[in-house]
Amino acid sequence: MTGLILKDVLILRKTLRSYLFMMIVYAAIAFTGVWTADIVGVLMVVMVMMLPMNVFAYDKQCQWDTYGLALPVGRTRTVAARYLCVLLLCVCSVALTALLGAALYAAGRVEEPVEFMVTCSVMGLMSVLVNAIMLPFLYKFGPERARMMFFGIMGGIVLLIAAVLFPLGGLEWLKSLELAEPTLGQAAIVPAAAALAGLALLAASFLLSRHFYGTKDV
Amino acid sequence: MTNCIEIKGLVKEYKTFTLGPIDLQVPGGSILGLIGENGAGKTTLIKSMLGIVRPTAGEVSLLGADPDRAKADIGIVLDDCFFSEYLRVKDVDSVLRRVFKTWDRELYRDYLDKFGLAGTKNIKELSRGMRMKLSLAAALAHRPRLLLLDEATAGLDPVVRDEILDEFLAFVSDDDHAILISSHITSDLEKVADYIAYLHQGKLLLCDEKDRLLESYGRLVCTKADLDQVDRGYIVATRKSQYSTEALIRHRGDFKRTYPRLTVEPVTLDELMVFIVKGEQS
Repeated sequence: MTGLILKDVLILRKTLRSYLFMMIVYAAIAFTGVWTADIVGVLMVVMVMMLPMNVFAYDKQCQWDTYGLALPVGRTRTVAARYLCVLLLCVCSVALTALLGAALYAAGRVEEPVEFMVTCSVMGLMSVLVNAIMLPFLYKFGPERARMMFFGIMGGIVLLIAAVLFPLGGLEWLKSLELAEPTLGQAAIVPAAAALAGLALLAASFLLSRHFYGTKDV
Repeated sequence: MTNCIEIKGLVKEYKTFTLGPIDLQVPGGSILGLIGENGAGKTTLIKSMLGIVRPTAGEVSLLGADPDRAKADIGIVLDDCFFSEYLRVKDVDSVLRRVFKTWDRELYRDYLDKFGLAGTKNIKELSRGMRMKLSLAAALAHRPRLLLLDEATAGLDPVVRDEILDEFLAFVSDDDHAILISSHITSDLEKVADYIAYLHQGKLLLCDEKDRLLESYGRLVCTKADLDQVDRGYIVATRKSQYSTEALIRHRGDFKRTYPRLTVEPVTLDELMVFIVKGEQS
């Protein structure tokens, strides 16, 4: 299984290098004060969302699926390897974002470190959530169709949230709650809760993907 | 001698195509050449054997075991390189040594040297022939006992093909080893195969020892009048043109004795395929 994880990382090698470069550039822009540090977290979600799609597309391009199923690995472990790779990418991305955030904080560019930590955790959870939704689609429909479907679903979710926040008065309601600023202790719960929720989401998604891939003719 | 491949009643149904039922055995120490026109079901057969596509019915035993259990001892080459263009040649070693317990890094490097492949090269930079060589090196480096090759010699120049065919012959010198190779280059199969299986529209039309097939069948070139006098039991298929009439004849030896006046030439696998597919069946 480690061989398959390594294969995914190796084919993403160039992409990962360019993503790392982009994150450093965005962190540098945040350092100048043009954007806030939160932009690094948003960028992380977008990047981690694209990486698994790229792996599936590269695999399809070279018929890796056919070859992969001829290896003594088995379908369940093949899917598990992909999920572990995605988890690894999410963890590394969150760690990198936290590291860049710490650097920006040290440079005096993060005014609310607690808020940044919460944002970073929520973005990490978002990246896991996006992959948990997307991976079963990729296994079921392949990269081209899954990409279209996924963007359709995400567009639908964004429209739904926008409808709840604006025409339906959700934003006004949120403002009326007058929530107190969380303490550092309260905020520390957020990363732990996000990590647990992320793992639960990925586990459920894995079961679905395993089912799809287990019955698929490649 | 035990069978390295045993297939009983294998069927794979699609909406517009059905493979089988296929019954096939490949004894250890031998090479089975699988021939057939494009879309005949050769790749589907190989995929069904490995469980890459789920057979609708039938049983497959590879190396005396269930295909899933046998996979560690099987090397596979498909009609194209299955390693991403974004990998380097040496990355294949890093990946596959974590997949196969029997992976032999030294042997992989030896094959790379033999095939003139530099480890640092990006797969993207390799020609089709070089990619096929890489696939072969990867298929052989874990010391498999069974090789399943789908158009593995396609795109290779004659010199390299000859080297690789010699490699296959050395591989099956061990009675514990076998190869199933599908190829459109029938001259390669005439050189190395012990058995020939001919798939046509999903059905196994012929499966026999190659020498027996080539000795048994013959090509008769004669006039229409001569052909009309031949016992129909000898004629498998005929092809008629404005100037000549050709027929694929079975039991060539008997035929020669019965019709000494008519000339029957040995038939090649290509001619056998063309007659069966394009000739008028008798």
